[in-house]
Amino acid sequence: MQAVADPLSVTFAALADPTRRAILARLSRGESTVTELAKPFKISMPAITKHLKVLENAGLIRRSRDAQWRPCALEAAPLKEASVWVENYRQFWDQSFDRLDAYLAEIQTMETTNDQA
Amino acid sequence: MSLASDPAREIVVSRLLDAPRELVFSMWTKAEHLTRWWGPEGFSTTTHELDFRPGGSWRFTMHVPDGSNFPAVIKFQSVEIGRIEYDHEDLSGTVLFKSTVDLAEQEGRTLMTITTLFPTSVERDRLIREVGWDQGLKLTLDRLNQYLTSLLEANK
Repeated sequence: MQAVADPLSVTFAALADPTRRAILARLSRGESTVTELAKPFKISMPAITKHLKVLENAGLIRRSRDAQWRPCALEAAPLKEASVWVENYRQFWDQSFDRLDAYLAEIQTMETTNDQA
Repeated sequence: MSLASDPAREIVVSRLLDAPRELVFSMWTKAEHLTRWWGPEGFSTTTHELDFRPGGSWRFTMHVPDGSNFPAVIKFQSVEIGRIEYDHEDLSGTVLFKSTVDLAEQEGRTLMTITTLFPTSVERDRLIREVGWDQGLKLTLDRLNQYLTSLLEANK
């Protein structure tokens, strides 16, 4: 099990907010302008901008610097990294449990054999 | 807010093991046992120190099938038969994550549940203060992972 890199913590912190997750869900279907992104939410434009800033700082979205509308787009790499980490961690334990299960069976069989001897 | 109650940063894994609780508990107490089951198939551990009591450490090197070795330190906070609590530290003593192992008896078998909290770091704590966490969030990392997978699928 390797240490968790700090960028991963930043990713999870950014994902901890439902509005930001909804924004990412929207962007997973294609890039969008800030105005379009704000539409489904009953929050102010500055609040949306703040969420976008968090997502941008976490590297989860990128915003075009030169286009007039500065559309936002999803950046998949950090999401992938977070997903892989969780999956690896889960597999580590699933497989440890498998070995523990087998080892416990072996020990109990030995005990039974010794008892009978 | 208490970091310990934040489901967005927890991973919970559990398994019903066909053995009594005392026996399952003892699997944590000896190096010869730990090396047989800690880590996936093909992994092994060399124990440098195992002091199984509150405040004591398990210092070990994990040998991975590809030939690489990872030194690791687990510091026990609590070692009761129903519950083991430990911090997974790096070699400098920084806590990477905190885990709780619950051992529950179920008709002669034992349900082992490991709950792991994400690492604490000054940087991350600062981020939590500034960004804020959704207190009502009921999302385990497992569900988060399903969400991540769906995002990645949609983005293809």
